[in-house]
Amino acid sequence: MAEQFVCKSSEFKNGERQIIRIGEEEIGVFKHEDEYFAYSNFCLHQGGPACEGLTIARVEEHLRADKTSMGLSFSEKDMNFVCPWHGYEYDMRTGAHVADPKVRLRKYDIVKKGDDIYVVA
Amino acid sequence: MSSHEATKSLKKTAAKKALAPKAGADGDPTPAQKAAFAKAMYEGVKPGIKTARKIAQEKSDKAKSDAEKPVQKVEILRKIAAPATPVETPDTKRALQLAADIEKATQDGDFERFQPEAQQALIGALCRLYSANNDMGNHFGAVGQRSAVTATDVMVLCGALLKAVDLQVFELGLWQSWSSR
Amino acid sequence: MDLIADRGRRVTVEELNTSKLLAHAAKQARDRKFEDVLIVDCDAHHYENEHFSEILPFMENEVFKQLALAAGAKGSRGSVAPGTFGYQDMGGRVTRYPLRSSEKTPGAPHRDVQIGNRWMDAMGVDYSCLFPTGMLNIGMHPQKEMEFELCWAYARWVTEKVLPDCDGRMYTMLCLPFSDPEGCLRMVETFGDRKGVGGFMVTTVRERMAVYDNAYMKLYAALQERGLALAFHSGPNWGAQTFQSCNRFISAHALGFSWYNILHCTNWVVNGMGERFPKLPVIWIEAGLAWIPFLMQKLDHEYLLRPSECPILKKKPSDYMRDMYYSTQPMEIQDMGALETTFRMMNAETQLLYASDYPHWDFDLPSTIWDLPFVSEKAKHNILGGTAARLFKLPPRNEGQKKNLIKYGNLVA
Repeated sequence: MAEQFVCKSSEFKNGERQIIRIGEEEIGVFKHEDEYFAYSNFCLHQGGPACEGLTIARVEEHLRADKTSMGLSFSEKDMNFVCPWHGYEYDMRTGAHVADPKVRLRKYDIVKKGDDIYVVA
Repeated sequence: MSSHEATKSLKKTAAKKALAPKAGADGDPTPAQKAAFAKAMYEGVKPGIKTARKIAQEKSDKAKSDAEKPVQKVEILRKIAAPATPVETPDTKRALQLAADIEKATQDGDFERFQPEAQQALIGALCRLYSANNDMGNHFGAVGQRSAVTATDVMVLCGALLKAVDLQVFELGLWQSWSSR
Repeated sequence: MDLIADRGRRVTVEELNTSKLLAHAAKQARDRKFEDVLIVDCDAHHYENEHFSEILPFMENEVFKQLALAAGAKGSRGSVAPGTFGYQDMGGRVTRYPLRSSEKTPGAPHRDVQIGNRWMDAMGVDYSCLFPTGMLNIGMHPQKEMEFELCWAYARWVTEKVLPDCDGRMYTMLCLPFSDPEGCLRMVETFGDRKGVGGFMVTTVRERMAVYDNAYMKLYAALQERGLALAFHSGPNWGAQTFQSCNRFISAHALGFSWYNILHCTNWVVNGMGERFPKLPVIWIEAGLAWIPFLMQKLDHEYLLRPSECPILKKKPSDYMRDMYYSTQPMEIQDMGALETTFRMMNAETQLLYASDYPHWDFDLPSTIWDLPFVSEKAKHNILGGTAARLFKLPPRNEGQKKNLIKYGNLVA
């Protein structure tokens, strides 16, 4: 495992993504709400480019105490990214599949040194 | 095992050796033995002895194998930019100010500050501008994320807009499904 | 290009380029050396509904043609073909739907051929059976005349403008106007011998369809005589009475695809169509596989109790089902044990045909078959293309494929 320079944080805007290749590995690096996240770009379903699709807030359905549904709504805090091939939806902060947390994309550590952003791969 | 861990374990061995010869009757180290153990841990491996040579060798082997590993380059396949931040033209600024004024008037309950003809002109002009943008492929939401517009507000205005051009709600539904909107 | 996500938030994604989108599929194909495996995709789609201006002029009847052309004109509130509603694109999460119009296909060949070549090359597919998308709802048109006219025009357009452009890598099973049995027969007689026509297809999303009606026997005989296949292609229909209690698209979609094939396959089997046309290859498309063991068990169970209702049958319903073919997609790879049982029950080695359904949202890559742990080499080769190569008389595209076809008995040396 080595720290690989990706870019300067000042050049990386919120909502932006970089898809990088290190050897055989392809990694998607996200900047979301001033935090960095890096995941394998190979979807665990059929191998699609998991990090290159839509980012969209998690859809939730809340129940009242009497178990009646309040309908569907977008989460205020949880953001997902979606594999564009078939719609496999992963949590931005953990890389876990929304419906089955056991399905989890390989996560790479991000190291920040000054203005430089490194991926540990 | 990292070289740091290796050194640590060798240190422990040295310290254990210091402790080995004469343990107390119950097998517990004596205070003197404990002191010797702590000293050995503190001093570490003395240079020149066999253990030190072994550590040095391990370190140099690791450095060599690290050097032989091909340096993997980071290749940037693509950058997917964040959506463009709004460009502030003087007209945009003016319109935003007007929107803020309207919002304030609504909040203050001053519903007559903007007379119906002004509201009609604004709604009509915005309707045409939005539709023209949409036709050009410039798609964006009709209201921004931080808008205070409620679902009821939207229904009231949509209903009025449909009525203004003599459309029924089901016709809107049909048009949307036919034209895959 | 920007897409709209939650609360009107804009998200930038790359504009669509099928080759780029499927780069990982290309890697899978290289890693598995698919070059040496003849792969036939027996169910892929194009968006013919985006080419109505090219298709409608092929309509025969002047009155219907005028109606259709006028309905497509700007400002008209008319509509040519029936539509269904739903969220195939998952709110834009499957980005190739909203981005489709952004894909560039300069010059010749035909746009649909260029795009088809891109996905076939990426997946390692050698031949694709091209099906329409919007026309899958044609069975819901209340006018049988319009149904015939549109099927006719599509058949002419696809055999005269699209297939001649594709270097022989695409073939089709043309959509039949099933509400009009005479019209179906005319279609088979007219188009059955055209290049690239491997058979005909019935869209199973229909409110009323009697596959066993005497009116269709001439049609089935005509297909059997010509060695053409008859495919039944399923679909969802959220608007149908049956699905009115589904409050989510997932329910109407999951049930709809299975339901329409279950329905018509049941009628086909219990009316002894397999006994009447034993040499007619029948293919059930796009309902996945899980419904097959269900229906086999259900029909066998009831058949033994009520054989007098289907006296034509000389063997169990499941035996007739095992004589027919099924497309793989969307394959339910959830429980390997269940899938293995399904493969065994249906004789997958000889009856299963790989299908991608690309570019629709739940497409399957060839690796979904290739990577299955319980399938023999021979079965893998057969399912991915060997069986289809025999059915549709598709030649190998290189020496490696030829060797494999011969090795697994799909080509005579």
